This record gives sequence, C-alpha cells and structure tokens, in this order.
Amino acid sequence: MKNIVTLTIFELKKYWTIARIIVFGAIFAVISIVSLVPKFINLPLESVELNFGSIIQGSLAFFIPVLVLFFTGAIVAGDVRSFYLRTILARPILKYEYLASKYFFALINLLVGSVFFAIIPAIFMGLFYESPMKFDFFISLLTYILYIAEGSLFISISIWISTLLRGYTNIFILAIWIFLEASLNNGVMNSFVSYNVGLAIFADFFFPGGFSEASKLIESGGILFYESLMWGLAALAFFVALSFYQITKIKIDVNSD
Amino acid sequence: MVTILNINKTFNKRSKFPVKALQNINANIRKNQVTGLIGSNGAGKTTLIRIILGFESPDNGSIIINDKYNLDITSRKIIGYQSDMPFVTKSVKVFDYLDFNSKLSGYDNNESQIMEMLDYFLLTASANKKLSDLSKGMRQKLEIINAFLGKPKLVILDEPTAALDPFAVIELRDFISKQKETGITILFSSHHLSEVEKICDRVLFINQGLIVKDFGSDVIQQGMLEVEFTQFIKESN
Repeated sequence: MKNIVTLTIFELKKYWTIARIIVFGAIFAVISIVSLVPKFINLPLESVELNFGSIIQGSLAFFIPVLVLFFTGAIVAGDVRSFYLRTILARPILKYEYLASKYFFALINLLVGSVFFAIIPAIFMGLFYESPMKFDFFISLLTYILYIAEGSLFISISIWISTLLRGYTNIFILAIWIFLEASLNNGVMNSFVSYNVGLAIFADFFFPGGFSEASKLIESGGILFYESLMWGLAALAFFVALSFYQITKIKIDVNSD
Repeated sequence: MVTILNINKTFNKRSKFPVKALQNINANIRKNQVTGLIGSNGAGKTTLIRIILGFESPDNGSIIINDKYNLDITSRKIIGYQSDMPFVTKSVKVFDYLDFNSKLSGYDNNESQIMEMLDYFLLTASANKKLSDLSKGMRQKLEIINAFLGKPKLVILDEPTAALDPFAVIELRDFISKQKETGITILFSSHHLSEVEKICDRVLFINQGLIVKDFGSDVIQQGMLEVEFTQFIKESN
C-alpha cells in the first residue's frame, strides 16, 4: 500500500502543472458565474421549485464523462512513451501497484473535479435564489456516489484501452463508447433497442449504463434500481479485472536495440 | 552475481523476417567487477539488459541473480538501473524525482545520500529545477545518480556516457571506481572501446545477438583492448 500511495502522490505532482491548475481554475470560475446568471438577470424563478438532487444529477451526467476524458488521456500509453513505466518498474514495484496508483490518481481527480464543477456551483445556486431549494441529503449523496461509480467505470475502460493502444486513442474510443452508451440507454436508439431482445442483451452487456440508470431510479426505488446497480457493479468489476489482466501483458517501453 | 544461461530471444516470430536478437547467450557478471558490454547498434545489448531487468521475457533460458532464478521483487531491490532514455516531465523537481525513486526502493529518508550524489555530479544548484529544465547531459547524470540510490548490489548502466561532456566522463569514471570499492557490481553497456577499457575489469563483445568474445582483465590491464578487438574483427571477417 505504501508504494501505491507514493506512486499516486507522484502521479498527482506529475499531472498538476501550474498551467493545468490555471485552466481548471478558469473553468471553475466560468461555471460558477454561469450558475449565477439567472440571479443576475433577475429571472423570475420564485415559482420554480429547485431540487438540489436533480441539479447535481444534470451537471454530474455532463461533467463526469468530460472529467474522465480530461484526466485519463494516454493514462498508461503516455507512461510507456515517456519511459516513466520503465523507470518505475526498474524499482521493486509490481505492475499491479502501478495500475492501482493510476486508478487512485484518476479517482482523486474525479472526486475533486466533480466537487468543483458540479457540487459547488449547485450550492451557489441554492444560496443565491430567493425561493428555498429542495434538499434531500440522502438522495443527493446517493446520486453523487452513483455518478462517481459511473465515472470509475469510465476510468476502468479508459485505462484498459490505454494498456492496449498508443497515445490518446483511449479517450477517442471512450468518447464513442460513452456516446453509444448514452444513445442506447437514453436517446433515440433506446426504444429501438428495447423492442429487440437480442439487441437489448447486447446493449446490456456491452454498454451497461447501470449506475446512471440507477441514479434516475433512486426516488422510485424498487427492483429496477437494484437491477441497474448490479449491472453497473458487474461492468465495473469486469473492466477493472480486464485492465489488471492486460497490464501483465504490456510492453514496458517503446525502445528496442 | 548474475548468471545468464542459454538466453534466446527472437522478435517478430510470426513475420517473414523474424529478428534473432539474442542467440544462446551464456555469461557471468562477476561480483565486485565492472563488466563491459560492447557492441554496435542492434547487436542485442539493450535486449539483454531488458531481459536481466525482467522487462522482456526470453524465449528460453534463465537469468540467475544472487543465486535466485528469475527476477522477483526482492531481486529488483538490489538492482539499480540507468536508462539510456531518461524520463522527463515539466512538473517535477530534480530532488523530488530522486526522493521518489529512493522511496520506491524502500529508502524513505535518503536526503543525505541524494544531496551527496548531486554534489558529486555538480548538480546541487539544480536540485530545485524542473526535470524539463535540465540539459541532456544533466539528465543523464541524474539517471546515473538514480541507479546508485539506496544500496544496490548490482548496477546496470546503459550507455551512461552518451550525452556526457569529457569532464563529466572523467567524473563518472572516478565515481564508478569509488562505487566498485564499496562492493557494487556494475554492468556497463557502451559503444566506445576507449571508455570501457578505462572503466571495466572485463569486456563482453556482443555481435548479432551472440557473445562472440570475452576480453579478460589481462587484456584490459595491459591496455591491449583496442588491439585485441581489431585483431579479432579482422580474424572474424
């Protein structure tokens, strides 16, 4: 565990350059200002009942995939290219420890990023509106946890692809995967898929939006919520296992004599 | 210290043109000696080093380090490695990088050794510089320091003088002889005959994936490496 902590701290140091901190700070400032626009222009929102859980659900659904794409570009392939992986593995470090540090790095960034880009702007909205915002701690927390779990699923897919393919290919494929998953589970293709048993099984297996589905079913609860949750957990376990298997096969460097 | 037994390695096996990188390599890297590994580009030096480090699996054969078959995590604790391709990043400082590597080897509070080595290689003033701000030669020195961090018993140097100026090469030579006195075994890979002659106790010549000649300490002590090497090449042709 000590090695994983050391590697994760180094990963964070490596990633967070001054330039990146400034860019993320600027994005945070813009999002915060945007969340206050209705207040500045005196939009008559008194009649609208705001719900904290729904607001963070909307913003997390957008920001979680975006943040994962930001943080996991060439997450493993970049280390092969820069000879970082070789430097690390010349030390008494296991490939599993290296990969675990990648998961922790991405997860920490995702947690912090989602708080800054989704939770804090939602709190700003709640603070500055005249009419009180509906706030249910349990539902909000569960929504947040489910979206972080969804983010972890995206991270595991991104890491797995990055152990297989060069450069930033992982985030291009992940972006397509996320788009297809959203289309199959929510969008135009949903009704088409749900009427075809074969396609429905295919979609459930390969594009399991279990966690985001579960987050929409929190209030209604019931068996569908647990079913979606199980799909999400199964997919997460599958892709994490796949990435840990694939790391054993990875070519450590690009150099050859 | 290291026994290399019947190592074979072929790349692109399934293609029309498989590359036999290493063929029946048998060698010993003796304790407390500096063993040179010399050969042209593509001769198989780096592949052999990568196999010793466990980065690459041989098709067959074994590597025995300190009487242990196959490289495990304990074996890696006693190995220091200087890569020919240093890792560079914009956001990490020199001292932090060395401290990080030291921690990975199990030495948490190694500040004194790090500063001592930085001082030896005239890099103390660069301790707070970012890795990306260093010159090529400085980065190479840093990788050499990195290889000797902690208490390695075997240090593998892969073309350590490639980017060094003549003064730094002399510094390195002195540094290596001092390290040898402390009981460290060194494998020194290079293209340059004159360099290995001054640094090494023994030289293995690798060509087209084969160890074709083992020049012993008698040849090196007499300063006859270049003559013997040239003669060997002529005879082989």
